[in-house]
Amino acid sequence: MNSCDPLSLTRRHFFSRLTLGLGGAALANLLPSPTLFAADGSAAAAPAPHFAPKAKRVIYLFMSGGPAQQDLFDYKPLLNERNGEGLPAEVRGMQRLTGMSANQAALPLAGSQFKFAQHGRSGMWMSELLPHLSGVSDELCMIKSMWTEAINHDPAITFFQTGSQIAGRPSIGSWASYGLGSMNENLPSFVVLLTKKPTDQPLYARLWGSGFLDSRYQGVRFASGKDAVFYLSNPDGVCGSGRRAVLDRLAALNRQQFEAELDPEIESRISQYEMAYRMQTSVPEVTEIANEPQHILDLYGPEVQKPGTFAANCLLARRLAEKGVRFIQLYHPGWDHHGGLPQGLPNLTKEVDQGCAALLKDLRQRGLLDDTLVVWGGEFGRTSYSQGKLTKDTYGRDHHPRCFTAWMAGAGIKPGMSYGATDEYGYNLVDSAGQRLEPSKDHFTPGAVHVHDLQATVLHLLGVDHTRLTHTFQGRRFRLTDVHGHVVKDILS
Amino acid sequence: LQPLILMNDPQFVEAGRALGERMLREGGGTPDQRVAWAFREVTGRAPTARELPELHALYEEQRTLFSSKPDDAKKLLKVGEYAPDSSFAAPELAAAAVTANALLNLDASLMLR
Repeated sequence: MNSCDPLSLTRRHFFSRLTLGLGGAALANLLPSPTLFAADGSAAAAPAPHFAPKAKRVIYLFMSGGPAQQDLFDYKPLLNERNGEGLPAEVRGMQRLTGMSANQAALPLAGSQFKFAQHGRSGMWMSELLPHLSGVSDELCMIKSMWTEAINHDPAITFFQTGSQIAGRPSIGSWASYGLGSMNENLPSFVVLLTKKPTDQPLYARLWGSGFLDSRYQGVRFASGKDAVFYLSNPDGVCGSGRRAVLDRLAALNRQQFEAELDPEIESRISQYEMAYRMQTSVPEVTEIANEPQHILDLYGPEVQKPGTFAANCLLARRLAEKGVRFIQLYHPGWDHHGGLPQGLPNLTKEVDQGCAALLKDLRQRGLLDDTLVVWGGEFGRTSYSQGKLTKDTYGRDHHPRCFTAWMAGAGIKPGMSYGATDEYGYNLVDSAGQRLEPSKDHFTPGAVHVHDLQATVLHLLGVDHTRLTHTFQGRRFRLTDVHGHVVKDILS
Repeated sequence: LQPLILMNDPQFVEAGRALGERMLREGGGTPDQRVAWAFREVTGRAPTARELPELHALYEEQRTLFSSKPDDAKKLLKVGEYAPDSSFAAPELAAAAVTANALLNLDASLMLR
């Protein structure tokens, strides 16, 4: 370990060996720029998108656990008519079941106990559990034909987040900030907010990790309490100028270390110390809601005053969006209703319904919905048959990967439309003529939206060609969408 | 965020105080000897000829700062539970503590390559 230059490599030489496509453009951003070490918060030159973006930023409302589409969005009166009858074998086909319901003697169809009605100009179906969201149905593009390959939570969430069921790849928010750069050097470009509630299904930090991308692209989780970021203040006795002096010396020493080691992660460390310094000012500004007018707080509902609730996180998401955070990801856990669904699901919809609608209205009235993409959805759907005993009062639903509902709204999305359909049993995808679809990720299947299709569409709206956003690692190029994914053009405005 | 924890969490400020105190006690008589000793403690190597002046400047800046702000020095020494050695003047101890905390934040002391 010394300051001599191993193998006479220069850092430019080092990077030039890695550059390819837009990955290269993004990597070029790692080269030291005058602003990289600047304390004034001025933006470093950002890599350019592939084409004019519709969306400048994304707010992704992830409903972990798997919301039951049959009780919220995908109205299936046949399930009520045939309540208690077995799921026909030809409908199930070869579908594998989880160990939780595979050994059941019967798979009784379970009709939803909730009333459905049509809303808005498009006549969009929604259940009575979503009164607030129903009111903004004309903003939504309801995708009823999502499908995935995973059947258990963690691989399924990891698939949505990283494009692989196996942990370790970069998160979608990391890809977005890697490809597009930051719009506000005072805040991380990928911020994660979790609803604070008891859950037996933890959401691991690797879901917003940067994988093999530089660590500066990893999501920064804001805490779900009074202080969004811990240890923001200098310790007692350390004044601003004293801290500044330390940071300058620390950066100089770390830069010498970089020159000896040539590891770009050292430059990331230097920039993260500057980011932390700037966040000491920017985080209190963005998280302080005392100046929000009463009518805005009322829009989000009473829970908005409690830090860590979904409503509070929605308001914070809007404030972060206003400040130019590129990718804001919320997680709301608890949708995993294997049993007692009629009793449990209303608690969940009560937690998120008003916040979702308020976020859309608030973004709309500020003009932000024009260039902000909002995505809502879980990692898979739920079965049309009951897991466990079906009684007059209750039923449960197991995991179901073959079809489920997600919605998108805002930048570049056709509002007030539904896309895709399921059969009368709510078990399989069908085309517009009602013929059963056998979707494959190897080619585009009109009417079906695979996880990679959703990812490709989100990147497309950000102005990024998902086939060209690559990073070379361990000898091959990687993409968020692997070698799959098709932009769902029918839902674009 | 790692930098905020490593610089502001009382536990790491306290660790800096303890290391700073050892630096004054065991590191030698001159500022250069002291920072070189502390640097070696946290990185496992001696500072290079280019690093030493930066370390020296880091330490001296904090000494100047705290000698003009003795009250700040006293406040810093109260962070954490470790009782400061009263045989050292508060500004001396505070400057050593901030320097030692900075050294604990170096890439060279955190990462093994």
